[in-house]
Parts: sequence; C-alpha cells; structure tokens
Amino acid sequence: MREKPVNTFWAWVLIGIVLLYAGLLLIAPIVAVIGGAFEKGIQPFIEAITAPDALLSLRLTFLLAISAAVINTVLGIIVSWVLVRHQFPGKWFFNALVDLPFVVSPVIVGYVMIVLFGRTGWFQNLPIQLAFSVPGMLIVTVFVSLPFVIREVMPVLASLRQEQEEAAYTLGASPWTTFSRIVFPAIRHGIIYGVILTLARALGEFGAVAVIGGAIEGATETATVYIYRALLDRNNIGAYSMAIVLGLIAVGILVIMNRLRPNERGH
Amino acid sequence: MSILLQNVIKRYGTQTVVQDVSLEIEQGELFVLLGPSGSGKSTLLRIIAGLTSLDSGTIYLNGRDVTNLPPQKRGTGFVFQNYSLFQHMTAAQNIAFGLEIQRVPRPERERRVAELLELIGLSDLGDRMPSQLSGGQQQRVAVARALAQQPDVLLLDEHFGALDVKIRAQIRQNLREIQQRLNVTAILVTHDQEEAFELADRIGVIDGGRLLEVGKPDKLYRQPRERFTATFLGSTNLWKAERNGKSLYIGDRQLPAPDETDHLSGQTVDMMTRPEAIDLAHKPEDLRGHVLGQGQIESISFAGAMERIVVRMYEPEQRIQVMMNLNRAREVGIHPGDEVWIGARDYYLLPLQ
Repeated sequence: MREKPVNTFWAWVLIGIVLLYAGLLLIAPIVAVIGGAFEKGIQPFIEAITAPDALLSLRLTFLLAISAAVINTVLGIIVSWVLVRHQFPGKWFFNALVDLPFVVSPVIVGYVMIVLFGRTGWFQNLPIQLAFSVPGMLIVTVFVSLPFVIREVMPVLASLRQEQEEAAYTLGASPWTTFSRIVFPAIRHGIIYGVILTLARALGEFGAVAVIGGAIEGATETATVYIYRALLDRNNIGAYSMAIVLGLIAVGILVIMNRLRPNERGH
Repeated sequence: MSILLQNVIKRYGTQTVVQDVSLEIEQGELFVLLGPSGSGKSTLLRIIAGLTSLDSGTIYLNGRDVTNLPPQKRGTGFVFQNYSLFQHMTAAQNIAFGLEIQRVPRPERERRVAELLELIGLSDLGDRMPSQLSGGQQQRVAVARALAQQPDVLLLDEHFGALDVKIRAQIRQNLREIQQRLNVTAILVTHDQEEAFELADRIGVIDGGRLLEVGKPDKLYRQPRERFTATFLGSTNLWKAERNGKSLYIGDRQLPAPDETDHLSGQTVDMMTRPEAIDLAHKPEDLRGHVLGQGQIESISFAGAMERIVVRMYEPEQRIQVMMNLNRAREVGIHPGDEVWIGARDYYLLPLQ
C-alpha cells in the first residue's frame, strides 16, 4: 500500500491550472450557449429551431453526415483491408496520404474544390455541377471525415490473426462468408468507433462546406453555416439554439453507439 | 493410401523451403513430421491443407488429386498452432461452424456438436467463450471443430507449444484416443522428439525443407540412416570406425558390424551409441555388451530414474555421455574419478559427413 500523497502548494497550483483551463475552454461555452438559447424562455428556442431555414439546414447537415458516413465506412473498410493485407508499390505513400485531411485546413479543401470545379475551374464541363451545390459539399465532407474509419479499423485488422480466416477456409467457408462471419464481427468495434468519429466530424464541418457550398440560404446552408449566419445577423437565440441541437445530436450519437458496443473498450 | 505427396516443391523467392518431398501415409495412421523450427514442416502441412500454394508436385488425398483445389474443397481438418478459435463464438458455435457452412440441418448439427463435445470431454462447457477456456480446453475445442465435418485427414500444426508439461501429456493421450477411435488419418507437426515418440505410428524427420528419413520411432532412434536424425532425436556418442566385411574396427578393437549396414561396407563411418546403450564396469568381463575401451568417470548427476554420467575415454580420447539406470549403477558401484571399462550394448553406423 502506498502512502496517500499530500498535496503540496505547487500541486494545488497545477490542479488550479487544470480546473481553470477546463472551466474556461469546456464548461464556460456550454453554460454560455445554454444561457443564450433560453435567455427569453423556451418559446423563442422552439421557434428558432423550427424556423424553415433552420430545419432545412439541419436536414442538409444530416444528409451530408449520413451519406459521408456510409461512403467512408464502405470505402474505409476496403482501404483498410488493402493497406493491411496487400503489398503494392507506393503503399507507404498512400498510407501517409490517408492522414492528409487531418492536416489540411478545410477552408483550403473547399477552395481547391472551387478551383477545380468552379465556373472558371479546370473541370467546368462536368455533367453535374459541383461548385456551390450539394454534391460538391458531399465530396468535401467525405474528404474531411475520410481518415476516421480507416484509422480505427486498420489496427484492429492488423491485430487479427489471419489463421482465423484460414480456419474458416478449411471448414469450407467461402472468402465472403469468412469476411462476414469471422472478420467483420472481429473488426466491428473498430468500425463502430470510426463511424462515430466520422459522423461527429461531418456534423461539425464548417469551413469546407461553407466555401464550396457558397452558403446559399435554403439551398447549401448546413447547420453550422446557419449558426454563422445567425451570429452575423445578431440572431443570438437562433445561433445558440442550433448549437444546442447539434450538441445534443452529438451526445445522442455517442450514447447510441455506446449501446451498440457493449462490454468493450476499457474493461 | 490416405495421403500421397509426390515431389512437392515450394520456393519463397530464391529460397526453397520444401525440397522435393514425396511421402505416403496409410489410412488411420498418425504420422509425425518432426524437425527444428524453420525446417519447412509447417509449410508442408499448409500445402497439404491448401493454405499455401506449391511450385510443383502433386497431392492426393484418398486417391483424389487435390493439388489445384482450394482449402474449402480438400476435406482436411486443420488445427492451428494457436488454435485460432473464433473469439466471438462459443465453443459449441465454433464446432458447429463447419456444419452450418455445409448446411447440415439444425437437429443433426446439434446432435453432432453434442457428440463432439462429449468426445473431447467438455460437454458442460459448450456455451463458454474461448476466452473463458483454459489453453488445454481451447486445444480440444479446436480439434473438435476440425473433426466436425468428418474430414478424411486431420492436420495438426505444432499446437502443444503453449501448454505446460502436465497438460501436454493429457492432451496427447486424449488426441491419440480420439484419433484411434475415429480411425482418422492424421499428420502432426512438432519439434519435440519426445512428443513424436509418444504419438507417432511413423515419424518423418525434416530439415532444411528435405524429408530426410521416414520410419517407426524406435527404428529411427536406434538405427537412423542420417546423421541429422541421430543427433536430433536425442544425444548420442560417436566413434570414428572402419566397416569391413562383417566387422567393425575402432582403432584395433574389433566388433561385429550391425545388420542392415552393408551399404556402408568398406567405408570409414561413425559408430553411434545412445547414452542409455552404454554400460560401465570395473572389469571387462562384467560389461554387458561389446568392449569399447577404458576411461575415467568425470561426473555423475541424478536424472530421475537414471544416473547421468560423463566418462573421459582414453583411447580414442573423447568424452562419452552415459545414462545408466539406478540399479545397475549401484550394482557396479561407480564413483567420480573411478577408472572403468566402457561397453556398448547397441550401436549403429552413420556415413561420415
């Protein structure tokens, strides 16, 4: 048994710094947002979030986030599989490239998209319009949330002993059956965690979708862009209310996903 | 013929890991592939199961050419080194997996799983997850899973490694019983010669990708044709000797040449004697076996039922390892520093390297 450490003066100073830091950066904004939204009671809050443009922006945010999550989950599993299981020239480069969305500013991503697909861009004669449109916004959302599933699934896949798959083969299972019944259950926790992070990232994206979408009210305005416009319009209750909704959705996702992966992580 | 390999060759880049292996294994036989790590024994096993491709050669299982068939169609049961149980399935689900793949109807499936669980003595642990089973239990579940589809051939890769000595002995016993009861042909890969001796109907010694020698355990131990077999299967003493006619000469001492060594006639050879085939005595007439010469006892140590004795022989000058049972050692009355006569009850010849 170790003696309980007695906090010295300097220990209290450190603890104070931590509490102040967390308080200023994490707690204060939450309190401020909640306070702002309900400044004039619950009625203005409900009106703010049921306004047609608010609902439209929320719908677009959901559409983008869920679509990006689906695309990045399917492609992410394939990319993880290839990067873990196969060898090809330039693999290290491709592997490093996956992290690009972590380091590139989303605003730059949006800008590059306009350079490529805008009215005077390099590819201006595509059958679908990408600049200032939802498809373009989907592409940037997919881009910024691309690494999460891959980075969550790759280590799980790498730690999976290939002998389990071989065992399934010798028992007569086809490669697809082996993937769906042996590999998938083993990596599903990684996938679920990757999906959580992908959704969270996609829901909160601002810069890239604002630039490529052009922030057109009622058309390419996402929830985060809506908040920005509300703040500019001095519609504080609108901005705070939407912020609360996004925050609750994020918490909701976390709770649901936690339910879906029982007895895992930290036990 | 249950398993037939013809001229199997496997290369990785410029390295040949299986060199022209041909082998026949009878129905119901338990064949042990014995070799050091990196000898190619596991690769050979994987080739038979179809998990590793071969560069040339042919494989027949029960008369069927399976050389180009995928593992799914070979009808082999494979037990992996680390069991490789499906971690998210219970023991019973693991065993049932192959039957589900074959679309065996549920009642039949459940009956088979119950039978197999009973066969491995784990009837009441069917709903445990692999992580809740001991190493020995996991091993047995892996065997049951491999047997569920009633394979023609059971292949076991070096899978006792992770278990402690006592459990290993139990598992071996259990495995042998199951294999004999089901009369399934089995190949077991190991680097442990004791295990090979205990289980094998026949042993194939493999080194550097070559199948050096195949035979019954006692024959390989007492009368190996290859030097590697002699040294790998246990410690041994070697004397330089000349074989001529029906005689063997160590220096000017003459001994009868062992049977079946005519192929070495007229050659300089190594005479090998296992430590337990050597006898010591104070007078040459008390020796059991053929007199080899004299020497002095360097050390004696206790090794269970035997005394482990090191003798420094005078002519030719060399150290000799002796294992003498306790009764005989007491009868002879030997002590460190004693001068003794050395004799060989059993010996065999090896070609010079």
